Amino acid sequence: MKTILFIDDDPVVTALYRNCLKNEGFDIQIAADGAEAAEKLRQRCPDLAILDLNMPGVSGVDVLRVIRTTPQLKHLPVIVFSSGYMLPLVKEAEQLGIHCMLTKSACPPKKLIAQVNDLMSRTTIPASALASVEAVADRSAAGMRGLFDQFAAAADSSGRHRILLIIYKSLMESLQEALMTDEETPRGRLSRALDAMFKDLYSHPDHITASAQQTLIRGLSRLIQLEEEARPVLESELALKDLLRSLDD
Amino acid sequence: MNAVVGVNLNILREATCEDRDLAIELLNLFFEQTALEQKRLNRAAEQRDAQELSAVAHKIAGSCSACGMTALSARMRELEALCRQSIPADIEARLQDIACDLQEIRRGLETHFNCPFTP
Repeated sequence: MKTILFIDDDPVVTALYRNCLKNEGFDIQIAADGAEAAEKLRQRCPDLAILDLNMPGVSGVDVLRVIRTTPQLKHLPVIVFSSGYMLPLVKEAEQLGIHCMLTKSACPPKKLIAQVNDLMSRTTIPASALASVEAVADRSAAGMRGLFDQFAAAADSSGRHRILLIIYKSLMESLQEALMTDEETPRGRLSRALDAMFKDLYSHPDHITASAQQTLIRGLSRLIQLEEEARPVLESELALKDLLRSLDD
Repeated sequence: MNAVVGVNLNILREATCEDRDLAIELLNLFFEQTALEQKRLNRAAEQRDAQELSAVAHKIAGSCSACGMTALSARMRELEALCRQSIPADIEARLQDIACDLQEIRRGLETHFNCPFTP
């Protein structure tokens, strides 16, 4: 069961949305202020956080800052659920990284549930599972080879599952960046296929066949190669943007 | 559903998925919480604490909005915004009006649901 941490100091709001989200099959944890949220996040990484920004003491932005600077939590998807008119707070939260912002007064439970379901169905692997492993520092093809070897040699499904999570976490940024590229490019096509494959392997760790392992390893190696090939182009584009910006200034 | 002055019953109904028991449970919690928050508001007004007034008004506004009390929520937002600058001169009158409105809404909802709310 996927866990959602709902962080809001208003018990009426949490009571209302807790019921609705529970009915959708989620495990709902409540934190009534920023300090309690930080403590609960330290104990266990949920799969999603729903965060009010304007809270006494430790604010929602402070909580978000903790999330984004804690290695185990930094990829946790966060929905900001707050008053739309708290613009400075909303902007700060957006800069730190949020999935979306929903305005309380314009968001009946149905809308929040739709957002949560949409996000959960798009999340390849739950944040709580990713928090349980460490990514490797060397993400190059050579650096990943050892992990691929371990993955292929793992004796049981739980071992493969764990290594799969480490591989995914190590390559998550590359994969997500590639997912944003054009679907028609080799990198775009490959990333979509790999994303679907990860999702499938994560859901069915007992059925990871040798051929599926080989396909995943080959696909990821190729993705890293394509990323390396694309880097000079991206760097040129960034340099050009910087130049144009300096000309504008 | 019959009308209740000051409450958009459609919002309340949608929020509680047309579950009467859930609506009653939520409203009980609302009136219990706002009774406490009203005390904080009055104390903050006595102590001329604009920041506390603004913070409590913000909280009540959110609860009102969740329960469909849109007009009262708007008034609380107005109070919140005003108190961010300074305490309005007519703060006592405003708090009195808010207390009266809450009483009226409570009576209306008790009649509507045929059930008294606590406390």
